[in-house]
Amino acid sequence: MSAAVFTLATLLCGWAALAPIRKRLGTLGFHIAAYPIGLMGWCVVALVGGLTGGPWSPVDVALGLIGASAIIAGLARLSQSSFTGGNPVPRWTYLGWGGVLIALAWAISVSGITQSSYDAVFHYASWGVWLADGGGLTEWIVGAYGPLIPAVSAGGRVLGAGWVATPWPLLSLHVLALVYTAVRSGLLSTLHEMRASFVAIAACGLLASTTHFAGQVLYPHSHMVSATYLLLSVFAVWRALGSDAVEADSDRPSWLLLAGLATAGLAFSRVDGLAYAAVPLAVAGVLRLRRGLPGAALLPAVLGAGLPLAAYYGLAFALLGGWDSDKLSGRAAAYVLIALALLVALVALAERLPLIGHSISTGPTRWVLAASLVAISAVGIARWDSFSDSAVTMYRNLTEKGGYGVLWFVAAAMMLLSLLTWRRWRTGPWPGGLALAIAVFFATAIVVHGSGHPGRLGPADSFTRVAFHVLPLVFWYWGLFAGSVLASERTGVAQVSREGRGGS
Amino acid sequence: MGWRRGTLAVLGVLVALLAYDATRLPERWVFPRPVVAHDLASAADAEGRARMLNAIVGAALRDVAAEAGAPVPKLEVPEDLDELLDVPADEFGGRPQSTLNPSLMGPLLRGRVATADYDPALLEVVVEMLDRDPRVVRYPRDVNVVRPEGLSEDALRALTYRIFVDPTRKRVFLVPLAEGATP
Repeated sequence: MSAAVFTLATLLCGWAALAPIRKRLGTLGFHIAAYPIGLMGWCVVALVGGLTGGPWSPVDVALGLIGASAIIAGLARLSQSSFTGGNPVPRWTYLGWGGVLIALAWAISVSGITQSSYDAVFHYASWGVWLADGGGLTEWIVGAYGPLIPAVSAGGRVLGAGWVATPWPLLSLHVLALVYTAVRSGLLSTLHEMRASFVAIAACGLLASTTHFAGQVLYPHSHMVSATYLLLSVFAVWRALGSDAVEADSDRPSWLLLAGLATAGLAFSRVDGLAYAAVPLAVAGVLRLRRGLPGAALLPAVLGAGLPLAAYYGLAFALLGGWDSDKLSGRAAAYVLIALALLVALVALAERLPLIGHSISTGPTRWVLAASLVAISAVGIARWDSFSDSAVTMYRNLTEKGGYGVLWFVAAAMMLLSLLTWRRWRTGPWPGGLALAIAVFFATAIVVHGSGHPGRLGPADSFTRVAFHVLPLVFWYWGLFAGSVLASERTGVAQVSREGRGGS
Repeated sequence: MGWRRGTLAVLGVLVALLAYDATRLPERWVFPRPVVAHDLASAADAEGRARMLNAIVGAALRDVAAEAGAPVPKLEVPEDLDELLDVPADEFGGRPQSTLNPSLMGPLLRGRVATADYDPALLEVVVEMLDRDPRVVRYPRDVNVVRPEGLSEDALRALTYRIFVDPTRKRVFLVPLAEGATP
């Protein structure tokens, strides 16, 4: 029962948080975002528990989850100027989606099936116990593991679970649902519904059959969690800026707010997630320039990401001062936060920059790619020995030692083929946005891992595991590419037309 | 139409490669094998490594204390804790890692792990007595915890355990300290 109660509490938090914008997100978007956003509510419970100092009580849990949903709902009201319009969410869908998740969680918990590892026990479960005891933030949580997974583990324990295992299979389901929705919706304008569904199912099936996806479905670690938030943030950016399904300006703020919240979730699930906030930020910046939107249009995303991050890191610095860590020290966190703030300003004001503003506004993708190359080169020049060792280790882990089999060879071949045939199959701006997201992800990963220690060969290497986060985006891109080529095969002409509101 | 058929053909080959790769998933499995575990102690035991003993000790103490209505107890350990057990140690980077480590137990015990000056070796006769004692709860990896029965409320609130080992140094015993008593 505890897993069912935990899942229900999480869903209720997410539904309440997103309630003001549910009609804008549509039925599918609203429900698919509820559980991941609800999970973030447990971070606020940890905050309340840390402030009260004792073991979490039912009052702490209620205050934290209600507080989290109230704060996010407040942001939603700020971001959305009007709440009329949009599609109502049928009541039966709450029972339907909630019933599926709760039943799955119950079945997993009754069976006891899980995976165990040093990290799962000592990084996440143990620090979850610490938080549930009212332990509060420590340098280990802030500098090494991130607050989200220990807080989720604490929440599960407080509600009666001896070993918290259910969020991971549920988030795996969310990843597949997001990829399916994204591929199918993206192809509906050019393919018959059944064919679009077939391509989407094939993309999900191939993703699920990869070793690293299958291996993480039950694995209590950070990767499926951060992959979910990265995918959700990019999905939300697509719905806001890259999809013709958005009804003019009315839905955009809601989707951008969701993109920002998911970006914060990414940063909370892993300490290096903070750096990968660059991915949705870069894509949102490019797309808003392409659409001719002002920088202020991104404000909901900035609020959605910025306020949780500012609150969390502000509290961390206030409680801990600075902190030491091999992964994210206080000093490094400050640098990354400042860099992100500057990036946000740059993205918002890009077209106004003297000398280069016009060039950026007409060719934003080139500038992002150039900036990525500059960042990689800077790290390479500054730390050539460790960078070159890291680069070799990263390559060998992706292609030989990391347990990915032929996957990355196939992915590279697919990307190359898509670029060679780009003009013939691409419809609309989004495939470019998605390709850019994948490119910026790898650029960020190379900078992060190239500037640290060289890593180790094998599946346990940090970069090997981090590469999993981008897999859903890769298979999303694959589905769009394959489906678009298939559509061209049938019609002989790539069509661009108004898409229906995806899945709602 | 040539580029489309060619592109679809290449995509088909790539998909076939991935599908073939998927058939080799069992031999390429690089993650922990699925296990059945309903609590922290059994999940730690299922992981297999020697250092999981720290989690089992922490979980065992918490469970037993909670059952008695006591808060999370304090644990006193000898100064040579890393040499206490005679079990094969884990290695990391080619170096052996101490099996028992206060920093790994700390988060489970609210950080209340302290060193104390005492002899952690139990006599065989004491071990035999504990093996017959119904107050002893047995956990995975032969971690044995004595329930804190018969203690006053004040003693429960200030509950402190000490870690001991049997003469073979393979079995762990966690024994509550009585007020004012020394073992």
